[in-house]
Amino acid sequence: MDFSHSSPLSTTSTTSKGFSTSSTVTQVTSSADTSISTALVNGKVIVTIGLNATGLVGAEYKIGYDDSKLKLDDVTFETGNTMTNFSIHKENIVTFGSMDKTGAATIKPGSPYKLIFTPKTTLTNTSGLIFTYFAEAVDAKANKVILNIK
Amino acid sequence: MNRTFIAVTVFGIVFACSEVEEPAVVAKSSVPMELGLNSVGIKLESNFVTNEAKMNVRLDAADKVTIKIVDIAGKVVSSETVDAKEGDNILKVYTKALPRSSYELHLYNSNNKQIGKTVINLL
Repeated sequence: MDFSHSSPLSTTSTTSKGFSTSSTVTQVTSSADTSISTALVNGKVIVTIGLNATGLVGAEYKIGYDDSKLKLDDVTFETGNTMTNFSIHKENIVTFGSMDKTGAATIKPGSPYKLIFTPKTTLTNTSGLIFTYFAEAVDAKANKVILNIK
Repeated sequence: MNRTFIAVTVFGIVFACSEVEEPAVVAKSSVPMELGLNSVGIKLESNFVTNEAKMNVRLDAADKVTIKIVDIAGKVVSSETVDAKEGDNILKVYTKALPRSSYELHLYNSNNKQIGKTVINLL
């Protein structure tokens, strides 16, 4: 999403005298806090993503779960009216997030994402059933924002 | 100790009086011996875990407890908040889907104060 795995962008310009100059665009990285908490609510396992940072035009989370004990029911979004949301479910990994290509809209702070699971067995609690691979975001200037999970 | 007095009275005369001692009721703890705690704290069944581990969280008052699983890089990979009662709370830590490694378990109360910390090694 943020081109973090691609080569740094180079721009080349030619002056009127035929000299050429080049510069390398250095990506600025910042960080913000996020939370990923699970709870048993009315027989369902609810994973709530907390994100209070403002000015984020994109975010992506990759979360794994124990598919011997949980079945994914739904991914819900409360990111604002104009964000484009996505979720990909493959085996026991869910990748989800939001992006606004224009950079005009930002993710609504609060609890923008929820994952809802049905337990396959009786559970007393849910520790370890959900785990995070990564979480990252991008701001309106295309700067990478590392999301620290608290 | 419970005491019971038995008296038979006929025309105002007491003919017998005895004291019966009933056995005291001994409460059986539902906490397995290996998870027993004498004071507030946490105790893990074993630090070496395959699919799941049992953990006793003993509190002096009911509270919300947050359990965080932290990897060796210090990143929180899993977090859960449970309603725990006063006394012993047997909770499970499921590790089947976690990448095989060592993790720390951090426990916090509702005031975000750390109330326990331990290590699990996934086999």
